[in-house]
Amino acid sequence: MLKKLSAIFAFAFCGSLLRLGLTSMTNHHLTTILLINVVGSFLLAFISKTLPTLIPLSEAVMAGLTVGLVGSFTTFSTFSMDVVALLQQGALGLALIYWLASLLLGCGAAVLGFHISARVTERA
Amino acid sequence: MLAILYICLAGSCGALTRFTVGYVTDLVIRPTQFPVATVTINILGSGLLGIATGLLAPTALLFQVASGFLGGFSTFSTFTNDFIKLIDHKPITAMSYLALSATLGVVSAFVGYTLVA
Repeated sequence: MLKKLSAIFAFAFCGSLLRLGLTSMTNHHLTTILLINVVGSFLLAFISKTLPTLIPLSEAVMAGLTVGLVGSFTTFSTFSMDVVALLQQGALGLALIYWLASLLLGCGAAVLGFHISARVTERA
Repeated sequence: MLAILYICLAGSCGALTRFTVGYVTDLVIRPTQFPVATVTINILGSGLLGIATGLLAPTALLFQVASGFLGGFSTFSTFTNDFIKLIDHKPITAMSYLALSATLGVVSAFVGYTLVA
């Protein structure tokens, strides 16, 4: 359990750093957060099934990669707060687009991740 | 530079808190189809970020550390993955999970923000 917790801690540090780096390097906050959440949704779906069948990874490293790295890379709180900020600016249309796009593209990316993972693991 | 270290360490603590909440929830309510822990974490995280945004200046270190923690605590990827895993077998559960997370997350952030701003 201690190994698992340490792995989550270390990988989550990297996930947070990655998100921080991406958001501070770009000027388009909404697009960046949207992309992070969509890419993360894909990665979690792809990684969780594919990696263990391709490479022998310990349970601790897998938890680090999924719960830690991807879990911390993506963010739900910023997504919610962005919608609130847009609504308060009166940008109702953009708020709705951002909200819907995050949900649809995020779920779509997860479906894609599961499908590609199934293809890869069949061949392996 | 030191600020980046604090923010990312806060993110790590957030992820550990998320893992612990999930772990304990699984022990307490074992046979559940509904991702109780993730929905709670995401709604709570959104509300707390609303409070932090209302209370603190965006440039304040405390705000950045708090949002680092909440960024690590809340998670979008588990939310979308849970939904996709549920949709085939339990479509009603999946849809209510999606609707509940996505609407109450925003409501919670709004309430948190307006309570303190």
